[in-house]
Amino acid sequence: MKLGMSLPQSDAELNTDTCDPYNNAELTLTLKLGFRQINPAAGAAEGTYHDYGRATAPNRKIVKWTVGSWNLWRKNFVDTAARFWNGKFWLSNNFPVYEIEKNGIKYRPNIWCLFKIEDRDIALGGHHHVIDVVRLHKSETWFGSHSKLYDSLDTNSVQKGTDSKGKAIMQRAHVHEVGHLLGLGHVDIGKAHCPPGGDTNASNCYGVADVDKYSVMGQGMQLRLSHAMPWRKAMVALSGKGNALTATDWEAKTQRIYPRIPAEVATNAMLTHRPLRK
Amino acid sequence: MPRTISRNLSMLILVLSGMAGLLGPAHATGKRCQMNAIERSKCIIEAILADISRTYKQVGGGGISAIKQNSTTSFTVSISQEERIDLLTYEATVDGKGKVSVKKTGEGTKSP
Repeated sequence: MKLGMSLPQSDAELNTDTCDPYNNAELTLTLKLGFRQINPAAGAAEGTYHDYGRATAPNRKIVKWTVGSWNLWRKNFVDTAARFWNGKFWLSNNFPVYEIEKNGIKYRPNIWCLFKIEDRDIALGGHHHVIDVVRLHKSETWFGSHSKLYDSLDTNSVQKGTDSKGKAIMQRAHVHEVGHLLGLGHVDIGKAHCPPGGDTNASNCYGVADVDKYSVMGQGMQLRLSHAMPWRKAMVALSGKGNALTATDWEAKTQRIYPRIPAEVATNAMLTHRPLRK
Repeated sequence: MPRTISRNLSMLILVLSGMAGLLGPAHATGKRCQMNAIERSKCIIEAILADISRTYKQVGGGGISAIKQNSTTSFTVSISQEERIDLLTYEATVDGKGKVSVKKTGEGTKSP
């Protein structure tokens, strides 16, 4: 069975055809992105563009996209961002749904969280997000981008911060931005130094403690269980069961957990090693 | 004074003044910070920049994009980052000997 749904931030599809005593159902979130070139004015080969697209911000030198550079950048963006977020979480199924029976034994599958980016032609419409992209001149090392305005260097790994021991914290900006597009906020939102009602882009919201600075929704590249929230919300919507704010509903794991038989469900066992099945 | 001693003394003075610069440019300028408004604001900005080097850890981004004087003794430094501009506000005091001290009085963010 394949069950699909359009959510505000992505499309969700649950595939239970993959289920057997060892394999889980697969939940794929698909982000439909439209990329739009920002080129120098009046067809020039070189020009300038302001940080954040704001006329009062500093100018950076940009160059005209070529067909080759544009296709290469888009492919690199889609491949690397999808690889980062795809297949990293499993959700424990705590509801009697999607169960299968094989050789007289009932199995309850869990959910493997998959992710795809569809690079969709601008003319087609129907995007979750449209993103403008500038191609920086080779003399430029940085451009002020945000979730809807990227630059050609945003896929590179650069130092974002420094931890308490003086070690560099590296990040590829595009994977952080895709986190936002999936609905994730900055790592420290909700803590006293980053209240949800304040400016959640404030520097403190990117992490104060080292562990938070290293989060992909901080200044680093590490995933946290909380980053499974878009898939957990999708499961609540698709199944009609549970609440994403209840930690034990569709609980996230960063390790594969195998489908369970009723006795294992009763003890809430998490099977991280391949079990012996008949 | 023999010429060699005089030359050595001059070199020593040069080295010492260089070391004073390394120890903290704003503090080392002393009397010069009292001389006129340009020198005074320059001393304050140097002290602010020294504090930023010491305390601001999000070293990525586009660097300092503006330093704005809010009042005679207050300055705000803008630092460009992805998704935001960090705003650091400092209050400075210059004592009778021209010694500058600065204190960060605010940290904010401007979303683009």
